[in-house]
Amino acid sequence: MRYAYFTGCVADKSASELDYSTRKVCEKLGIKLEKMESASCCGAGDIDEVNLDLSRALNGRTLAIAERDGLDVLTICNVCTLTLRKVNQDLKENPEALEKTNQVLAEIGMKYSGGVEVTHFLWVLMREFGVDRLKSYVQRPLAGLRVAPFYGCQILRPESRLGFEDPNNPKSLETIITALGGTPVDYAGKTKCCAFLISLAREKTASKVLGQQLWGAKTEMADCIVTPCPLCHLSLDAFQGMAEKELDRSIRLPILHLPQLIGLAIGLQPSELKLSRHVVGVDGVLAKIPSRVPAGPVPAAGS
Amino acid sequence: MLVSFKIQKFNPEVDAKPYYRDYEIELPERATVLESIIAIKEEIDGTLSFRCSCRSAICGSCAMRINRCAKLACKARVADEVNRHGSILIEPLQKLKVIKDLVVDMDPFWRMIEKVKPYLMPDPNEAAPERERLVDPSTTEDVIRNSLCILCACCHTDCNVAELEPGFVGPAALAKGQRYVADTRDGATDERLKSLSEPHGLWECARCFACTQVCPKGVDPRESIRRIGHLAYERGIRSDEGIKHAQAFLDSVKASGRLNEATLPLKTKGLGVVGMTPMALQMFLKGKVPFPIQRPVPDMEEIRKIFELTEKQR
Repeated sequence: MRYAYFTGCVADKSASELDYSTRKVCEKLGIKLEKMESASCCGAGDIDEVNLDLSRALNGRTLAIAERDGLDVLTICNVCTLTLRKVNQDLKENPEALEKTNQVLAEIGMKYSGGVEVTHFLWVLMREFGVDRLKSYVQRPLAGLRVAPFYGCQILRPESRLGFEDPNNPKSLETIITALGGTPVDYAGKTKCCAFLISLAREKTASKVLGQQLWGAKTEMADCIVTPCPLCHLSLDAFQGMAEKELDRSIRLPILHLPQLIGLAIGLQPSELKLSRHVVGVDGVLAKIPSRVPAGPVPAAGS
Repeated sequence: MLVSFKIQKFNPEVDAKPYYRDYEIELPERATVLESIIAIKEEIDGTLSFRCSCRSAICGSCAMRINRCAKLACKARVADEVNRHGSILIEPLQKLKVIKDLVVDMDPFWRMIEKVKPYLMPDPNEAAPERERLVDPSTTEDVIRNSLCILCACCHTDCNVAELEPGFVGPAALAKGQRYVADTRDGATDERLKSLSEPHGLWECARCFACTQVCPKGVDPRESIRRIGHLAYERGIRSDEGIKHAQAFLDSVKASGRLNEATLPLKTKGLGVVGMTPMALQMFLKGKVPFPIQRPVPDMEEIRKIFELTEKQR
């Protein structure tokens, strides 16, 4: 299992703990990640909004690099996933768009032929790696830990661009939480928006939206939230204070990146997952799971 | 097949608050949810109230929440719902006042549609043409796609922002608005773009894509919103923080190939960034505020060239 690893800007900088923990977990699971050092930012919905041709050319270049290396692209961010998949789908299905993009790419000695798939770490675990296999790696089951899944919008909707699972009734995060020995918490906010993209331009509205989802998980007695997206993480964790102020309530809910939760269960140390980089402390989560990994057979990487 | 329904009921003249009632009914495999509730009304509970008319996804009157997602009851198949959820939960559309059971007061929704002036406004300085005004073929896609809207309010009531910010004009109105800004027969494009860029306008969209997902007619309101943003940018209507955010994004990728998270807030909010200090400080202490000057990605020359070429293409 080998992928062109598209870190994305946020996981490269402010959420670098996500990049770090993803690499640690993949190393242990035997998933090989070839970092796309020269890839550009995907431009998120922003470049897509102001200049669609530019978005297609920038992301077309990223796809062409992966194609040249004969690898599919693995992302760890919902927004990168949707943006890259949208461009990829348009280039594959619209010959005019592909030709226009290739005219630009030709000038830098590149060409994209539509031979790459864009996937997300969560999907690779579910589909290519397999949940049963993940279960065999668990050394420190998260027994008694109530984990609220937070999918984030752009890994679910629109289904026509993503299509991995039913956006109204997704199961992947719950399946993984259960495989790790934890208890998934059900609440209405799990498929809703974190409002990250308007947190600067519409702070008050964003705080209301974010607050509702956090409070929903809190009232269901979650010990923590887990998310597959670094932007959701920033919103849920770093902007949690804004939501608390808007709701006039204390929430203090720890937010884990998906690979961090997996890392804890498969026996990695908190320091290897950089859990101390979160704004809301995760001590409550660590206190609930066994601190030592019980002795026993350890599956070999890649088995 | 025998199907279980849980339906929210509420008669404000009698009930203190909404409650759920369970029904079980034998239905043919191909039944729609609308056919089922009509059967329930006819055979089990004559008081059950809902709106419906065309039964073929044209009139938009039977919109309701089916298994917590806004849908047209006439288009939703019982078998699909049972396969996905095991049973069928039916509730009225969210955030609208319930008149009785599944019948809601659509007035707040109509007010939003009215806000975008959903009619052609030709340029008053232009002399009336000899014959009818023709639609420019390049804009037919926008005109047709947005005209597919049947005003069912599924997207508006499932919108993750409108759910909590009742002032937000919402995806249905914005899609309607885009139909008119794209139409070459209209003479009020800039006036419309300014009004659509108001505080509760397009830049309040959080891109949750719920609208695109739930639309039963394939309108894709989020794409319409994107196109309004694009046109506002092209025509220089750039005073909102939302569009400044997009500009800052573009500038930072042009400079280094990557997003510069450290300068984005300042470029988006200007001096307004001061209000964010406590949060920024917390993030800074956790090492979550990256250094503002960042090294360009390897092969930055290629990215610069792409910017140059796509700017020339336009």
